[in-house]
Amino acid sequence: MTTKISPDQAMDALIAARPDTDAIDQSWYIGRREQVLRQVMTSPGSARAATPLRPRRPRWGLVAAAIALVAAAGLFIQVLLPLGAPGSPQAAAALDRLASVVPAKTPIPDGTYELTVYQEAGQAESENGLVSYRNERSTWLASDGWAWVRQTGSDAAYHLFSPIPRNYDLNLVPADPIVMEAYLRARVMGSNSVDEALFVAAQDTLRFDATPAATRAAALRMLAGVPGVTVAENVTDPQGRPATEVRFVDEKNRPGVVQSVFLDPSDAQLLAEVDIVDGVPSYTCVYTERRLVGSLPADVLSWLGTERTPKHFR
Amino acid sequence: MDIDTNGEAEFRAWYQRTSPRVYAYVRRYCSEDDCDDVIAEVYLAAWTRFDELPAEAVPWLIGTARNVLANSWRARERRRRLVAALTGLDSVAAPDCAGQAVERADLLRAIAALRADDQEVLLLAGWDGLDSSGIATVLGCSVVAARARLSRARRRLADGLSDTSEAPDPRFHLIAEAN
Repeated sequence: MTTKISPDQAMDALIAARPDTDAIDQSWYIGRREQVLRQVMTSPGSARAATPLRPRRPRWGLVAAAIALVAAAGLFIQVLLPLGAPGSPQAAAALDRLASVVPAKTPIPDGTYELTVYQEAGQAESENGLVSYRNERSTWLASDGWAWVRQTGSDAAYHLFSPIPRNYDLNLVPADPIVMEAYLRARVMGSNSVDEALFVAAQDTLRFDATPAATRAAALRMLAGVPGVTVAENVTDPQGRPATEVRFVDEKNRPGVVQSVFLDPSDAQLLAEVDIVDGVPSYTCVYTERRLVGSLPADVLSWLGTERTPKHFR
Repeated sequence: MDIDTNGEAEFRAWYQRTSPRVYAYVRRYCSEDDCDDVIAEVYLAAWTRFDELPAEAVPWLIGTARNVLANSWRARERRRRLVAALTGLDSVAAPDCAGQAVERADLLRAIAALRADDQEVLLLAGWDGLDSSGIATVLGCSVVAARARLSRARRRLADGLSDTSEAPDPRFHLIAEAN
C-alpha cells in the first residue's frame, strides 16, 4: 500500500534531517576557523578596495632578499623547505629540462578558441560503492578566459565557465620555484599530505591552458624539492606517445596511491594523468587534441550561446 | 595600502558568525580535506568586497561558495561532485528524523533519486534556511523562479517518498545558472 506524503510533510522531514548545529561546531571548531581566517588575511590577494589582486611587492621582495642573503648559510632553506631528503639530482635535472622547453604562451587571437580535448575514465565513490565512469571533455577557451565545455559519456553536460581565479592560483605568485613552494606550504590546509598538495597544485597549473609559460616552468622546477616526486624520462604515455613521467608517492599518508603526469618532452605539454590505487588504475585521463579553431560547434552554441554568463546543463 | 584595523575586527566577528553556515553548505559538496580551501576562497572574496556586501550576506556567501566549487571542479576536471554530494548527505544529515512521517533512510534515498537542481533548491531551503529571495541570490535567478523551483522540488520529493515518483527525465536539464 502506498502511503501518500504531502509536500509539507516531506519538507518537515527534510528540515528534521538538517545537520545538527553541535555536530557542525564540532567539525568547524574554533582552531580550524582561526586557521582558515589566518589564511584569508595573509593571502596575497587580501588587499582591499581598489588595490589590484597581486602580491605586495615589498613582501615578496623581502622573501627573495632573505633567500639570497642566507641561502649560503643553508638556514633559510631549512625554514622554507621540509626537513628530510629533497628530490634527487636526477629528478631535478629532468624537471629542469622540461621547464626549459616550455614555450612562450601565444595569446589566443580574438575570435578564435583554443580547443583542448581529453578522454577520462575512472572510478568514484558513491553511496552504492564504486561507480565506473568514462567521459570525453572538449573545452573551447576564448582570449578573455571564458571557457565553453562539452562533456559526453557518463556525465554528459555543457558548461560555460567564467575566468575567475582558481584555488592555489599560482598566477598570483612570482614565477620562482622556491617562493612558489613557500606560498603553497603556507596555504595548504586540511590535508595530512602537504607534499601531495604541492604536487596537485603543480598538476592543476600544468592542466590549465591559460597558465603563463614562466609559471608553468616554475611549477615544474618546484617539484624538484618535493619529497616523493620521481621522474622517468624516455617512457611512453598510455597512448604510446614519447613522454616524461613525473610521479608522486606518499606511502606514509597515501599508502598504495601513485599519481603520475605524463609530459611531452619537446614542449612540456600535459599528455596524460594516471592515478593508481593498490596497483589498479583508478583514474586515467589522456589529452588527444590541442589546436586553435575559428568557431564553436553548433551544439555548443545551441546550449550555451555566446553571451558571457555562466551556465551549466546536464 | 594597509588594511583598516577597525574593518578587520568587524570582518573577523562577522566571519565567526557566518562561517558555520558556509561550512555546512560546502561540506555537502566536497571532502573535509578540501573544505578549508573553498571556505578561504569565499571569505577572501568577501574581504575584498566587505564594504559592498548586503546586510544579509549568507546567500551571497553561499552563492560565492557555489561558484568556487564549480571552478574547483573545472580546475580538477574530475567527476567528484555528484557522487561526493550523495555520500556527503548521508554522513552529514542528522542521525534520525524522530517524530516525522518519513524514515531517515527513505528520505535520503528519495533525495538521491531527485535531479541535482531539485536537490539543490530543497537543501538551500531545508538545510541552509534560505527563503525564496536568498535562494534566488544563490542561484542567480528571479525570486519568482526560485519560488516555482522550490514548489516543484517539494512536490517531487513528496512523490518520491510516496512511491509514486516518475522516471527521471533523460533529457538535458538546466542544473543551475551561476550569477
